[in-house]
Amino acid sequence: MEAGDVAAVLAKASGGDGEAFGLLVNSHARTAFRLAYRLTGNERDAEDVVQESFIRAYRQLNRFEARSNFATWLHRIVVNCAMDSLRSRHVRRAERLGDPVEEVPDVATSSEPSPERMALSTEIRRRVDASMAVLTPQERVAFALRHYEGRSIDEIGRTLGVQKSAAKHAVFRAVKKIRVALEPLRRTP
Amino acid sequence: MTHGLDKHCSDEELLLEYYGESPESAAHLSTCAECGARFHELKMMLNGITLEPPERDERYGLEVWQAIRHRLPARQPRWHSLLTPQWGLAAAAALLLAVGFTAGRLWPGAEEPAAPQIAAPAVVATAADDEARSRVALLTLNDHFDRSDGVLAEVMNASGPRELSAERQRAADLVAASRLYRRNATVLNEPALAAVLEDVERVLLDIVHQPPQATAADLNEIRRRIDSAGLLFKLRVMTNELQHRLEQPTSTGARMPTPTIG
Repeated sequence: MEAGDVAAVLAKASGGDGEAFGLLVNSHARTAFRLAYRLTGNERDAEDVVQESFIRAYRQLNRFEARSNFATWLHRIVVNCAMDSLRSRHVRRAERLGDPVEEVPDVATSSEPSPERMALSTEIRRRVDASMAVLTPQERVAFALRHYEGRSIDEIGRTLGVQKSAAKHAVFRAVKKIRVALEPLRRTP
Repeated sequence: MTHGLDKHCSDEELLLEYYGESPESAAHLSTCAECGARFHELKMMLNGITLEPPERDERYGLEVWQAIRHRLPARQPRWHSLLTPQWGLAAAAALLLAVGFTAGRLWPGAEEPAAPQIAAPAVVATAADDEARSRVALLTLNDHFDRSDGVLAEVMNASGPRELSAERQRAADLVAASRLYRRNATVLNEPALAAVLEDVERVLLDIVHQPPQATAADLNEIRRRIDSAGLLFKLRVMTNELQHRLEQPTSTGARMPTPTIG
């Protein structure tokens, strides 16, 4: 959909035309899903985030400024929804464990098959997943935006509504935790 | 940030260097073997962290829309008004008259499943079950949208130059049928449905008027029109809605009428 078309569709959608909003959903859903998946790390949560994001966007259409870019605006909404999703997952996990989830599990001593029996990439992925699960929502989102989405630290700060230094430290802490999780692999011959 | 050549890089600086956000560290890295080795190690680790989202096909947008549109606050998409349970049987029957009028002329042949079941107003007039008639109307509209979708999708996926004779013929048939449906939709005070039919009709007419051998530029222009109007999406929403309605059990157990004129 071209920029002029988007503006026309947005004008209709803002006026309460659900039909027009459907066109925007259709145009942006796949991009939103890719982003949501990278932020949440699983399909089910990503699907929920996508749906919630569009509903939230529809509710907030009157706040959208015509001169802004709809994709950029939606990007921020998806990030916020993903943060909410990760926060509730984080809380559930903390409640289950009865303790704040800040420590990286010792995946090196787990009872999983030895690295020799597994493809290295699979093992890396497993460990990355394990470490991702213990990142705080902000660390996880900041890392995903920087590492997978190629956003600058400055952009990440603006998207998350935090100082640039806070965004930088969130990425840094995330990498540090992932590194700890991957450390045993580095020592594997 | 400045970086003295004699001072080793911090982990944070190495990370920023990896992401291209600390150009000051580059000079030091090129001369310091220790920092170079640390950077290499970090780079190898981060390069190994990838995450490829599962693919979602082109219908994904439609699926999301179908999932959320009933959850949107207080606004029903206007184009669905015809397809809701409140849609009167009178409207269905009126549309059916139009279908009956044109069916035999527009969609002849054994490979056309829906339309030949109703070939003349007289047959319609004798149909006993309003609900069954309504379902036939839905089925016919569904068929129309499905065929339109097929033609548009083929053009969207075509690369030029391309022979379009078959698509032009199918488009011409659909335009003729669509005009009748649109007129009836207008009479039935269904402007949104009429608008969708008109949007699709315009592009179908463009296809009809293409030269026998369409160039890449011709095809691109049609694709642009299809895309900018969101036609495939609109058609698929309609088709899904109709399908959903058709799958609803009828209250009287009405069955589709069997063909009386073949």
